[in-house]
Amino acid sequence: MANEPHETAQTRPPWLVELAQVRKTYWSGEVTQVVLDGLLLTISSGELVVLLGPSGSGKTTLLNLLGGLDVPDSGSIRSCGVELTSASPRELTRYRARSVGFVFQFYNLLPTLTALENVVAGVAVAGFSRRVAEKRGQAMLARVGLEAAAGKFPAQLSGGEQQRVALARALAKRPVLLLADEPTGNLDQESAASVLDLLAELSRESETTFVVVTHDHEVAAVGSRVIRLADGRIVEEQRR
Amino acid sequence: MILARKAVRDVRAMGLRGILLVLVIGAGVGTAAGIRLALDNVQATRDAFYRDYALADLDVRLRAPVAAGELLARARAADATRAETRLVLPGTVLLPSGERPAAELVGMAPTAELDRLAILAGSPLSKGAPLQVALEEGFARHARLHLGDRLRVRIDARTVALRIRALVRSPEYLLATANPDYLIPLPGSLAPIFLPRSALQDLAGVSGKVNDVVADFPTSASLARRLALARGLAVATVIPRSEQYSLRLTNADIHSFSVFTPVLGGVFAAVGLLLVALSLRRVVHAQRRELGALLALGYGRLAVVATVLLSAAILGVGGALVALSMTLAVGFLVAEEYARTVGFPQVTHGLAYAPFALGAGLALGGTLLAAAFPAASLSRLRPTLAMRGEQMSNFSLPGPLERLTAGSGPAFAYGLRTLLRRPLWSAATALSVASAIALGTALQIVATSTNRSIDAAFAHQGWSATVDLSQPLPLAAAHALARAAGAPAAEPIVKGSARLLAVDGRAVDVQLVGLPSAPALERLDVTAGTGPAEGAAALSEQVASQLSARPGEKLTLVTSSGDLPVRVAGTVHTIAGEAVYLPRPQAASLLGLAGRATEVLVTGGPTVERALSARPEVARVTSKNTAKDGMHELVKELTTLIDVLLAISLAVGGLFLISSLTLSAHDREGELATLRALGYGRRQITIVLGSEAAILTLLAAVLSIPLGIAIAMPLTDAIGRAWFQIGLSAGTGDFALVITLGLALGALATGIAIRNVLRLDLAASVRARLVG
Repeated sequence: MANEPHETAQTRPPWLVELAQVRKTYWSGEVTQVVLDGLLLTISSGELVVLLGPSGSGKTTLLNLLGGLDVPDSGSIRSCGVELTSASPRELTRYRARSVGFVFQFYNLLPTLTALENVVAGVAVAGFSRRVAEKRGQAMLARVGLEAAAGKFPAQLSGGEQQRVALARALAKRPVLLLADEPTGNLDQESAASVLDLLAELSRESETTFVVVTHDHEVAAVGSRVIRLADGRIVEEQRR
Repeated sequence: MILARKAVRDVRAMGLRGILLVLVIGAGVGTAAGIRLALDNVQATRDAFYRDYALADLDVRLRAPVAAGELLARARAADATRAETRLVLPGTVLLPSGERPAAELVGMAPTAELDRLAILAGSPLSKGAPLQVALEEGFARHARLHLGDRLRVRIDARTVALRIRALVRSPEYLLATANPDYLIPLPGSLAPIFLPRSALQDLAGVSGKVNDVVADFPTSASLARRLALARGLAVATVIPRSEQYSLRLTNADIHSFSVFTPVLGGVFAAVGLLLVALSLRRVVHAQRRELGALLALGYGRLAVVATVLLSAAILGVGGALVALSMTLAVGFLVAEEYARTVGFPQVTHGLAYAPFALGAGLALGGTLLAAAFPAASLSRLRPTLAMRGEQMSNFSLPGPLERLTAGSGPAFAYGLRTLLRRPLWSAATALSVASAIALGTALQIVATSTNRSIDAAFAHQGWSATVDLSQPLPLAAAHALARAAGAPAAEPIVKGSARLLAVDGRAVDVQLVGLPSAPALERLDVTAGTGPAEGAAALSEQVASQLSARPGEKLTLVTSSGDLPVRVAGTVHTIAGEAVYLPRPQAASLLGLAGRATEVLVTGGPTVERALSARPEVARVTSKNTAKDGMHELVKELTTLIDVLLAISLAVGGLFLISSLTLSAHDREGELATLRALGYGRRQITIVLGSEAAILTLLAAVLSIPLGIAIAMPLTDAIGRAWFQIGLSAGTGDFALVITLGLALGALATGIAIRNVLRLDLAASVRARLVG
């Protein structure tokens, strides 16, 4: 009996994310498109997982499912201790607020909030006091090199700067899981490289697990694990 | 063709936004057009009835019956094309419920052609059934009397039992009231009873005699010529068609409503169109990139504008259809409620072309115009500039607001800055909701002001009851009558019809009232100059206003007994609309009633009133409380009409707010979905949208107070011209209810917007591009 926890740890590794037989289809008129087809996937804490694949391979759908923005047709998704497929909307909201950080392709900064307020908006919702949220926001903006832009509105920033603010917003609350959808997809080469470097550094510095969706093979180079999807299935997986 | 297809699909893609826009386009102008339609239908119904049932050009009533032949001879001499004599006597109906409403018994030829009866149920009058009468349908409905019922009526000291043979409508009593002095009808207060002339003559013991003649004249006959019919006779009333009570009231109402209409309709139409203009501006700007792309593809400016206009036209046609439905519904609702309130017969709901054309035209035209401006300005941009998106990039709050919201958290700051982001939109929404609330408060203020004016007018008087005499009595007899009934104080007065002429030829038909030299019971509320004196008349404010007469000016009073040049002594605030006050001896002499009184004002309680009611010399006793309660009852009835307008007003205001918040939330779908993705739950989303709605509704509530007073002013002024001068007085209660309802609507609108945000497809919505 005394050995049981050890045995359990050995037989059931501490997966942060566990997907089993996940299936997701979309209907467009009379056409049914299977986007994820019985997907099996586990992700451990601290990994930087890069999801590669052509358009329609199911990358973004997978990211949305991991973030609790969407639900699968069947199968199970357990992430950060929450069974997402059976969670109530309230539990999903709490999961997103406490455990997950998002980085979107088009940054999705709120245009009427300053850079700092955008970051604070991401932290405050996780239950931190305003003072703590501001402190963390300022620190994270400094970390992404935008301390001086704290009072600027998104439209006053370049695309690369906006994406760095978005990264700061996602990480300032120290999420367990960071989900990034084409974080460099909308940036020029120089900005993309800068964001990518930052992503890699932040992944090394923090205990956060990163899942990054991309078309870009240069992004794939920074991942500790690269998963290639095609037709809703994992067709290749590399660990580094 | 491609662009046309794009326009149609753009509208389809708008979904809920499109539906809300169509509703907003139609609601404002449809309400305005509906009120216009109601008035048109009321007027058309009245005019058609007067035409079909031959409302007489002139009605002359004498104080005492004379031979019928004499009146007919006078009518012929005055060039009347048609004349009929009648015997009209006052009476009292003894209802089983104990109520004692006044009656007017009209003895007429069963085959009368003037002021003909419209038989709604039963059979025409017949000489063969002398005690079977026709009863005015409105009174019958009010008193719950039916065909075949027995009707007990007191005429002089006798009580007679009559049988209801027919329920009728008469052009003369289209709106019947016991107190025509006060131009506010009191439904059910007067029972017009029609019976064969010979039967009434027999009942009154005046065989072969009449006291009333109705006549028609050629249109070319002057009023002076027509009035020659009455000259030299002991006339009680001379009522030209233009002064006929129902005509005057509906004219006055239609006149006052014609002031109401632009105020009510104008506010609805203006705020509706403003909101549509700003909504469409948003819609057009949301297509900025697409339109820029079209320009870049080589489409011309006109093609781009045409695409937008085609989309707008589709919305405009939808709005026009809503406007047509609203016109029909509001027109029906307002006309029916008006008819019910004043006791007007069934309104014929015609489909007059003008209000519908107005509603549909404004909806379509306004929508096209609203879309044309932003489309034209966008089409002038260089394609690259157009494709770049909106230029606004700084959303800093003004200093004090920034400090105020410093500790409020991102959800509140975001909500607040959203309003700042579209200042015009926010201002228009607040203004439109404020206008809707203000209309409601204005209508409440009108009702309160009317009630307070009634109270103030009655409180000013020293009498406790008015006693209408069946026949003019010598002053000493009038005093003796009151004394015998136990009245502690009595004041005989004399009243009669007269015409007041200004030097410039303007004329007003008035009620001439002769008061004792120092009236103790009829206390005049002199608002300018002094009270009446020898050769100097005090005019009611309405009369002074109609003739633009000021103290010191010279006027002439004309009656069937002669003319009297008078000077304006002053103006008097009174609820008896068109009255002129003179010292009693002068008034009595001018009315041919020297030394006599037609009415006695008395003090004393119910015992005195009962004793006076039992006297044969008395036609009617009206206590001050009965008169006051009656008028309050009427105002209560009127508030039902006001409530209908209030409900419409709040419904339209609610629609504006719901539409505005929903469109605003829809515009920011990507942002709100991002907040949801960040983990913002119901509570935080409620803070975001709730803070926007709360600020808008609070702003609207604050704005609605001065706006409500501003709207109430022309409305009370309109009532003042139609009925009696009303002092504007507003209480907290007038604002509280409507503002509370407005805030509740704000909460409802927020709830709807929150629900929509919580139902967003997050995975799809977060991919919307937020900042260009």
